[in-house]
Amino acid sequence: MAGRVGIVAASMTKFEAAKPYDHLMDLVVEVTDKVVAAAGINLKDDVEAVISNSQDHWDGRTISSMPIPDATCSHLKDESKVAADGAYAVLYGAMHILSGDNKLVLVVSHCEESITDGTMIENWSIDHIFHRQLGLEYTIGAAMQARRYMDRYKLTPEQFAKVVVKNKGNARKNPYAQEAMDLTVDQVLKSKMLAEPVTQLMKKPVSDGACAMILANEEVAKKLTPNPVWITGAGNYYEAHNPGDRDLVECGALVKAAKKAYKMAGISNPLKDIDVVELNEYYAHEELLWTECLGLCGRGEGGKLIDSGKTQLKGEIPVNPSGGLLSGIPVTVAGMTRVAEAVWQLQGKAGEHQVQGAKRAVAHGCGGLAGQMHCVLVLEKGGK
Amino acid sequence: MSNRVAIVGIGQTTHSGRRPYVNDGELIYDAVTNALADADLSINDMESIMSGNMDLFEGHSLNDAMLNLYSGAAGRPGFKMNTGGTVGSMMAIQGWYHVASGLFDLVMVIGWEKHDEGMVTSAISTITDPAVDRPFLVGAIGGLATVSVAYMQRSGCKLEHAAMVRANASQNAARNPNAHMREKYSVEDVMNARMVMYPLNLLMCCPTSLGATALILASESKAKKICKKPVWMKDHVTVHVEYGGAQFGIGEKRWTSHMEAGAKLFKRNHITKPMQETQVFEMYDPFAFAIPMWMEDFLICEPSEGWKLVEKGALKLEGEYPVSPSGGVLCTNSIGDSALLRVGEAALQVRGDAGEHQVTREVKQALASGFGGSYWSDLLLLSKTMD
Amino acid sequence: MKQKVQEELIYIDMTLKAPYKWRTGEYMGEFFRELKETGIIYANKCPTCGRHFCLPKSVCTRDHTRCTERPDWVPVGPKGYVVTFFMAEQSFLLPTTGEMLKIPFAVGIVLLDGAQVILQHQLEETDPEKIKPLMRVEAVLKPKEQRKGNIYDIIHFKTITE
Repeated sequence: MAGRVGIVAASMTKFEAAKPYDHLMDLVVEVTDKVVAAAGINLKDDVEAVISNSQDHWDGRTISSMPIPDATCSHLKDESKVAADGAYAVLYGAMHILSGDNKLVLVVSHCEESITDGTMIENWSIDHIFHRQLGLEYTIGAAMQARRYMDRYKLTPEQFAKVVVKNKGNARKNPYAQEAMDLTVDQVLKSKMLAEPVTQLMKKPVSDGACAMILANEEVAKKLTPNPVWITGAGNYYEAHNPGDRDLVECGALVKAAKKAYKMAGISNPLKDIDVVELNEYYAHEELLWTECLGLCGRGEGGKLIDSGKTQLKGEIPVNPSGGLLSGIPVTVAGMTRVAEAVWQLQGKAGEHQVQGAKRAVAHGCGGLAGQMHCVLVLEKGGK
Repeated sequence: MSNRVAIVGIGQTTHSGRRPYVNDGELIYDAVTNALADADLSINDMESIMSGNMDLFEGHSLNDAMLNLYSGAAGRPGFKMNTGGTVGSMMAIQGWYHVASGLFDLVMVIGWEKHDEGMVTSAISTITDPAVDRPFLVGAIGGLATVSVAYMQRSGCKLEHAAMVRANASQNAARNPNAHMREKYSVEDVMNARMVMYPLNLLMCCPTSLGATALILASESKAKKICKKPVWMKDHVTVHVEYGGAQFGIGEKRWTSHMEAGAKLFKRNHITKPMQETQVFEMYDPFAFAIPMWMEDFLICEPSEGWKLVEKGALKLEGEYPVSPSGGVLCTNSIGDSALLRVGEAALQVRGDAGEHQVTREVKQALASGFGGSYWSDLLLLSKTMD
Repeated sequence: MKQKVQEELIYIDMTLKAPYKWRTGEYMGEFFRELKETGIIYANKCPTCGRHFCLPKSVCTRDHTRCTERPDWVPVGPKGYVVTFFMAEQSFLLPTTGEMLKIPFAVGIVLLDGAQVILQHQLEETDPEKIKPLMRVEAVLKPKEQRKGNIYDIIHFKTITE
C-alpha cells in the first residue's frame, strides 16, 4: 500500500437488546461526539468526509443515511453510505485517505435490530426466484453450514458450545457488552433448539447500537495521537450466492480475503505474527470455521483449537477477547466494532480484556447467508 | 503514485418500462458484457466488481450478494453502496476511490434498477422520517414539485419553458437507441399532458424505466496500456445537505448542494467559464424544471438566466451548450442506473462515440451530475486529456 | 391458453411486509406529548445559532449543539405561511398503512411563526390556483380527546386571511 492510513480513535455505544429511548440518529450523535472528543478534533472543521454505514431494510427507510448529515454536522460536506458490513465501511474510509482526496474522515455505523423482525430481512436477501419461498434465512443457513462442518471434519456441538462459554464469559470484562453470562457447555446445548445443531445460545442475540471511528493520513494521525493504528492489510471477497454453488465449509471468500490481507501486511505465519483476532461470529460454529480460514490452525482443526485453550483471553492467540458478536452486537455495525476492539487492543485501551503487548491484530467482518462475503483487515500498533 | 483514473469501458442496456422476460440478474449481465466488449477485456481481468441500486425498489436486501453470479462479483472483491438517486454517480466515485487508493488497477462499477418489479413511489416515500413526515411525501415528485413552484416564483420561468425542455429532450432521445421514451413531443403536446402533481404533468416528470449501466475504470498505467481512448475522471465532488428545507433558503441566502458542488469543482479546476471550458453536460434532470434551475444552481449561468437559455435554444444538442443530449433522466430513469448513465453518456461524448446523439461541438471536457436524497448532488468532470 | 401459461411461468408474485417499531427519541416524544396534552406546537432552539426547529431536531444541523434541554423549547405557530407546496393528483400505495392515497392531496411546506426550519403537512385547500406564495395558514388540531400523540393530531393547515 502506498502511504499509510491511521485509525486515530474509535467509539461505541453500550449495546443493548433494545434502546427504546434512542432514535437511530441519537446513537449516531452519541458515537460521533465520543470519537471526536477521543480524537481531540473539531467535528465541523476537521472532518472532511463522512462515511456512513447502515442497511435500508433494517432501518425501514430507503436511503437510511438521510438524517446522517444532520447528526454528524456535515451539511454541505461529502457524505456517502456503504451498504455492507462495517468493516467494508472502514476499508472505504481508508480508500478516501489513500487516494489523497481527504486527510481525515469519520466513519460511522448504526443499526437497531430491535425495531423490526430480522428473520424476514434475512429471507429477503435470498434470491426470490428459487430459494426465498423455502423460507431460507440465516439460522437455517448456519445450521446447514454447522452440519456440513461436523460431517466433514468431525467437530461436535460441544466444541461449538465452548465458543459461547468463552465469548459470553469474556463479555464480563467488556463495559460495552450487552450480555455477559457465566455458562456451561451443557447449558448452551440444552437451550432452545432453533435448527439442529444451532441452539438459541449459539446464535448472536438481537441488539441495538452504533460505532464510529476517525481515520487520517499518516501525518495527521501522528499529530493527533502518539498511538495511531495503521491499516496494513485489507482483503474483501464474495462467494457465490446460490447455496448449491458453494461448499459451505470451504469459505473460499474468507480464505482469499485473509491471504490478500496477509500478503499486503507481510504476515507469513499467522499464529506467530498476529497477537489478537476480533472476528464476526453470528453463530458459534462460525468462530471455529473462520479461525481455520484465517490460518490460526489447519483446515478441520477449529475444534481442536478451541479445545486447546489457545483462543482464550490469556491464551496464545486470543480470539474475540471482547466477547464477540455472541455478546450482543447488531448486524452491519458488527464488523466496525471488531475493528474498534482491535484498535483499542493495539492502543492499550481495552481495559480488563486487554491482551498484553498486542502489536498486530486482525479484524474481520462478514455478511450474507453463511458468510457469503468477508472482509479482513490487518492492523498494526503505531508509536511506542 | 498517480491517483489518476480513466474510464476504459462503457456498457449499457436498452431501457424500457417493462421487460418481463429478463430478471434483474440478466439485466446486469447484459450491461456487464456490453462494457467488457467495449473495452475488449474479459471478466477475469476485473479486480473488483461493485454494483449499486436501491434495495427497497425491488424488495431485496443485500442484492449485490444475491446477484453476484450475473455481475461477475462472485469470487471477487466488491461491496455495495447506495445513497438514493445519487447511487449511480456514487458508483463511479466509489470506483474512483478503489483505483486512486492504489489498491486496485482495474475495476467495474454497475448501476441498475428494475422498476417493473416493485412499487417505486411507495418505496421512495420511505426516505422520510417515519414519525414526522412519512405521510406527507408522495414519492420523489413531491419534493421536485415544490422546488419547481419556488423556481417559477423567484425567476420568472413559466410552464412553457418546462415544456420546451421536455420537447427538446424528446428530440434527443429519439436519436438515442438506448433511451426509454423516444417519442417526439412538441411543446403543445407537453403542455397538454395529464397533471400529476402541480406544476409537473406526466411528461414533465421522469418515467420509471429499467436498465443497467456498467463502467470499467482503470489506473493511469493500466489505462495507457489497454485503452486507445481513455476518458479521464478529472475530478468529482459529493455534497450532501441537512434533511429538510435548505433548498428553499428561508431566512438565509439560498445555497444548495449544486451551488457548493459547482463552486468547489470549478475552483479546483480553474474553470471560470463553464459553458466554454466544458462542452457538454449530462445533467441528472429528473423533472423538466431541473435543467434551467440547476444550470443556475451549478453556477454555470446567472440566476434567472436558465430559462432564458432554454428559450433561446442554447441547450439543444446542436446549441451553444448542450445539456443531456442523451435525453437525460427525463426520458430514461432507472434510479440505480440513472446517475451512472450520466457519467457513461458524458464519457461517450468525450470519446466521440455517442452516435446519432453526439453533440456538434468538439468535446474536450464534459460534466456529469447525480442528484437524490435530501437534495444532494454529485458533480463529475471528465476530460479527454489528463491535464 | 399458451399465452396464459407463458405469463404464469414468468411472474412470481410476492408481497413483502415487515413489522417496524421505530424510535422517535425523547425529544420527538416530548413534542408529541405536548401536542397531545396542551395542543401547543413546540420548537426547540439551538443555543448556539438561535434557530428554532419545528419540527424539532435533537442536534443543530449547522453547529452540532444539543437542542433538547427543556428551557430551549419554545411555542411556535399555530399560524404560519406556505413557502411552497405540491398537489398529488395521482394515487399510490402508502407504505405505512398499505392503503391507497386519497386524492387530490395537497402538501404545504410550512414555516410556522417563530420557527426557522420548515415542516411538511397537509393543506386543506386543494385548488392549486388558490395556493399563493406567502399564503397564511393555521394548524387545525383534533379535539383533545381524539389526540394520540402523533403527527396526525394536526389534521391539516387551513387558509386564513390576515
